Amino acid sequence: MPTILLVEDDMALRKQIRFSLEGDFSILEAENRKEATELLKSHPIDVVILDLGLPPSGDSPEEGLIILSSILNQYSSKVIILTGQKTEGIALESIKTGAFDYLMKPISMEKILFSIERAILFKNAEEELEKQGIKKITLDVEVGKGLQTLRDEADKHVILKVLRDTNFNIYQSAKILGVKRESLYYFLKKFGLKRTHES
Amino acid sequence: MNLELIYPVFILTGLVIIGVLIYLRSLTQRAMRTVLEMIDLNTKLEYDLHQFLSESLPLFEKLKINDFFYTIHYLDTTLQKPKSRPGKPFEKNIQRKDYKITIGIVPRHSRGEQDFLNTIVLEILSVIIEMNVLIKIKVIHEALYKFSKLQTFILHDVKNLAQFIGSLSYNVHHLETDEKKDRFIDYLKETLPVISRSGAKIIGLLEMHGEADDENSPGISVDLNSLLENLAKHYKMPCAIKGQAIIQAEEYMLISIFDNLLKNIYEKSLQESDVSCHIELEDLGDRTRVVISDTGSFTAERSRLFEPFYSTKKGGLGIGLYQAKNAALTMGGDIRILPRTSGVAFEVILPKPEEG
Repeated sequence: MPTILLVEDDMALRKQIRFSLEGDFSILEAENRKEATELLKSHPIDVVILDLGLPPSGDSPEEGLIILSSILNQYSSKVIILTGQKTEGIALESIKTGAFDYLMKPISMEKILFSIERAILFKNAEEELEKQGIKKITLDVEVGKGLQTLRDEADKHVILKVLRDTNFNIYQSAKILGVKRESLYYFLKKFGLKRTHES
Repeated sequence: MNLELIYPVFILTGLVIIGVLIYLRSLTQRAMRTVLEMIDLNTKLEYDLHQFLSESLPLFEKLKINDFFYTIHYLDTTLQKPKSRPGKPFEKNIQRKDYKITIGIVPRHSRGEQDFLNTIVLEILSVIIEMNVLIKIKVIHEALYKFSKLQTFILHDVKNLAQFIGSLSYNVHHLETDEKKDRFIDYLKETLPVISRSGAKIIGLLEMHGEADDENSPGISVDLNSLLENLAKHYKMPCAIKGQAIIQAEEYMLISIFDNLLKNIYEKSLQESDVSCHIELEDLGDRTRVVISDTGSFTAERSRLFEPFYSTKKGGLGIGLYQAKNAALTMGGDIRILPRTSGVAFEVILPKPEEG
């Protein structure tokens, strides 16, 4: 049964969404970043339904966007934003960061369920492709900046993804990428890639 | 040259100069008096641009100005009065990012000394009008900013409420088994206090600045211990409560006060470790005193904490504590911050309605 993490500070709403989903999915609940982070560390989660307006800054999307970025940097979970924050800028930033979907409250449960089903389908398909050695990377580049920028961005993303998968093991990463270790060090320097606590 | 003839010429010249100076002084004094009247009128009209433009017209007559015309454009608004009288106009154009002003006057006389005065009058007039335009723009921007903050504050809860109703409606149509029905009722029982808290918060905000109506709204008897325990439980905060108090009041007003104060501590506890809260209740006879304090960090700018739309938090709206203070004042009480070396301590004083 796929696992869904509901990150929503409104307990009444969280419980109703939980009730709608718990027949078909295993449900976990969090009402702030701390709880969400602990659950993500301790459970394999397929889909996160994330409210952006969370405490301590419940009236701005700041906290939600931090969680979104953190999930996408560390886990393969798909993130569906379910929020009342209505500005094009926030939606754009969420999609750019890598959110799977952006749903505006109030929205019907049927649409939420549809989005979850699609997210699980995409996640399963990506996992299947990964087994075949095909990795999906997402690039945000300005086409007008030319092919070199596009190539550099693609190189950077592939290297970063392999490094994360190997837990920053240079020997293994070089082997997977089919390059010498020296070349990998060159790329690390070129793209300014460093191991941080989060990565 | 006969010196006897020179003295009368000097005297005459001196008299003419004195006469001219007296004339210029009286002319300038008259003009300045009218200009001061114009400034006073603007102050009296509270810098209202529209009113100033219409009510200042009689003063132009005093200044011997036949016509006053303008085109003022700001925030998609254009105010216009075209030139309607013949004569040589004095004009001034001001063009800035947010506004564009063209003003002109047509003086009755256009002589050397009058031209000088007309230029001064035009300059002062343009300063008055530009200042009024700037005030208007600032006031509108501030009002929109505050409105947007209030809207955001209410919308967060209203949208959650709408989403809750939508989900509730979906679930009601999917109660196929008895087990599901029981579980559904259990969830509702667990969450209804949260819904009524949200409702209270919205009503409290919409009724801000309302007058307390003792005759029509005597309120109900509320056990403050129980109310505070439930709110602290909602925020999953360990809160030590000392003392007992029962108060006669509208429950939503009390929720407006205490929910906002406890939420403040809860939000602090998410950013700092080991923040706990303490509540002391005290019966002072005709009043009830509640002190809510935390063990978190010292908050700077304490004096501004109740200021509307002021927030120490990034992205904060600055409405919660303002709403709490407003609710306390509406009830005839008050909230103040007690001096402490660490954390924040709020003292809430609420009156007890007279018995009988």
